[in-house]
Amino acid sequence: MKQLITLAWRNIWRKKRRSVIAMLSVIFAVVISISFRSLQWGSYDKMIEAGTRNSGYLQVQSKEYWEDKSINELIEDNAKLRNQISSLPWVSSVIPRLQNFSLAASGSSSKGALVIGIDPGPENQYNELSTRLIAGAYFLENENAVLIAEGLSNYLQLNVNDTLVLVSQGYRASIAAGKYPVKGIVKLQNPQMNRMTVYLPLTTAQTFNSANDMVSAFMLNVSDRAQVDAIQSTLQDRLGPVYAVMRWDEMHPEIRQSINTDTTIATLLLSALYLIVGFGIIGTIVMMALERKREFGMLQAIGLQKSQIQTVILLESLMLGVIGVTLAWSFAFPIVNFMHNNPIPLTGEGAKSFEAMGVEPVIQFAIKPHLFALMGLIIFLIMLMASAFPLAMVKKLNMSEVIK
Amino acid sequence: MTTRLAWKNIWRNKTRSLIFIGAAFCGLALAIFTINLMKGIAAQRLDDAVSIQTGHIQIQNKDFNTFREIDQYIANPREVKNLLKGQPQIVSITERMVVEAVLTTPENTSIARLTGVKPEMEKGFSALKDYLIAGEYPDGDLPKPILVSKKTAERLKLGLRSKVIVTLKDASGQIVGGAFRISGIFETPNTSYDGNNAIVKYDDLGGLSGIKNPHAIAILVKDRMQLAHIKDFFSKNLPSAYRYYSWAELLPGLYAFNGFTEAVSTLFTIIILLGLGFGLLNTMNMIVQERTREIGMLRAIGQSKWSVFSMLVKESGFLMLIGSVTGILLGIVIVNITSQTGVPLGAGFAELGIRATIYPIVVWPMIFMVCVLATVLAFIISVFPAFRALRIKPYSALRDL
Repeated sequence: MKQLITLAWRNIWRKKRRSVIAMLSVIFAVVISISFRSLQWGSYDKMIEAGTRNSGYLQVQSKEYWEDKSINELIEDNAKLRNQISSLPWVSSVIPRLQNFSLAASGSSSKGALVIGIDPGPENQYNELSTRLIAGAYFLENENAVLIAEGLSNYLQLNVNDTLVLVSQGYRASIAAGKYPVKGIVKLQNPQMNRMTVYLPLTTAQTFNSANDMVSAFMLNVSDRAQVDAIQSTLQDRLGPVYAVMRWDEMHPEIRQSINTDTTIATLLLSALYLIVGFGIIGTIVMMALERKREFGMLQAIGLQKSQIQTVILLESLMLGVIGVTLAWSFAFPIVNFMHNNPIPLTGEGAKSFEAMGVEPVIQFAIKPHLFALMGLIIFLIMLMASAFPLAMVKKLNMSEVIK
Repeated sequence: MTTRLAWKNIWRNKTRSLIFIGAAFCGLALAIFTINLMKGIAAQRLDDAVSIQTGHIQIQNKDFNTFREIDQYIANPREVKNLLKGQPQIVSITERMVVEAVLTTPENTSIARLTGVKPEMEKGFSALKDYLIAGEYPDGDLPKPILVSKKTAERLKLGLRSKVIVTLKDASGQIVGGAFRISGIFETPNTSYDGNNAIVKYDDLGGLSGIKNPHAIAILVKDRMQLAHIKDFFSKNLPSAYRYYSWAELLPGLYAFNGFTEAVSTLFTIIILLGLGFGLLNTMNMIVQERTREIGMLRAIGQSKWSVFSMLVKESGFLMLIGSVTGILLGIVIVNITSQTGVPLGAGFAELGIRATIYPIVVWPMIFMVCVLATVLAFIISVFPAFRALRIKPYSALRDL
């Protein structure tokens, strides 16, 4: 075997220029595809981060809540339920929310608003809401005050310490109405949320909606995003059909769909690239075999088994692939790593579209080991396919004919 | 002479030439299909958004887009419409009132952007009526009709002719409410638009909110690529109380998506041709290497350096030409077939306003670019091996004969 490896190694360097060009094409395809996908994954991560900041990675709700977002579909906030949720592995925090739509009015104007009751401590721990303050202060504890989003405050012309009036329908057709001083103004990244959000401390929101000890949902933070599916199914089993456990990608179909469209297009384009590079490699390896028909016959004549010759051929293409992929990885990693640590801020129209989705307008690559593995695997498969022709050729080889 | 020689040469090793041509053929066909599919998606999203939502251009009160106050309307719509009259590019205009409101039923509450429309002006303008799944556009006999989306109707448990209470703040700052009846239910390809919008009659909304003037005059033009002239005209003539918005400003997300599409298709055209370049480089390299002796012979019988050089460049050119022209043709054929049959993407992208079936379109400038780049590349790549061939000395190549 050691001999065969030596033989294969020497063979690939017999035509140096040809092997180098074949490897260069592998390096080119792998570096391009890893970089391009890392860039895209970077933007997916930003989108997911922006989306989950306001929803958690999972939510526990009443079964009917998601479709209607009705204030009548609430769940009871009790220690037993919280314990059932938080005792699961990977669930790092459980954050209650009580949401309702309402008309928000000031002295000068009014507008439809999303009124969110939050538990000030855990909420801030999860999404650092207090860092988004541009005026006033964050809730100390449950108090009779509101934080309003910047866009809404502009629209209603409200400043800190002004009074906001909320009018809506509360739990079970009760009338919800209240007057609250504005304690602070927060600038939310998502422009739609920034135009319509009002935060109340949870107990104040429960009083406003006449829904004591009730919440619309528990947001879950997780310690490992890859476990979201597992948590969902375990938790759903544990809680039973009265509750719905939703994943972030079910709550944000627009993010899932953006990722899917992007991935589809990228897959098609990168397939075209691999197709072209793959053909090039197949061409090289087929030519290498055709030129050496006579040589293979000779090798057989001096006593090598056909299977040994086939092993040499397979080793040659695998060596080309392994060297190409290893070099490609060692070029791609520094690029991806650099672009991960040095994000490029976007400006102009490009930035606007990111901002329109509430996503920070930067280009930052993500470091995803699975991309490196995937692209390596594709090259490996191309190499195997390329060897198919020479392997078959050796099998059919008639020694006496070729060395005549 | 060298042309015929080059042509014959590439068929001496059929396997090698066919493998290269096959790479170009399949790769370019797939790339052209994908790029045109992507452009088809971008165009469809934009066309839908323009025809259902914004129009190509809007003239608004200068503060409306930022603050959306009910009293930021167009003070003198006649003045704006007079300006529009002289413009041959303009196909259709419509006046709209836009007010944020809360919709309430005994079942639930929802917020919506209410657009007050004049049905007779919307006829040649908005495509929304094509997306009605029940009922009719609000121009029938029903008093105070409202058009809501299927999503809103489900959320508020509304059926045709059922009643919904609309609450909003009127021009004098009072909170006012009124009952509207569902005249129709729509479902557009864009679920996020559907979730946030409802349509009522202009006069009904005006009556409730106490204003008479439109917030926006929306305009459709013949060709959305030709807005420069109109923009010029408005920047000179539009009174400063108003502002001109193009679709690019009204739909920044889609404008950016178009830019992204452009960038990705240019980038990938280059990447794929470069990938093809490696294959060509290797083929040319092999050609020069295995024909060292033959090239020496040609030189020895009196062929000039230049004619050997041009023969090799032509061989490279032929290979690239056959591969790319056939690949591009196959790509165009696939795009043309799918532009009839449609490409089924499934309903999974409605939140982005992408339809379940996409009809790709052939984008000729892109194909022209592929041809030019392929030619340039074929030349550049053949130059290196061809130069190497020039260094072959007739004497030493023939020595071992």
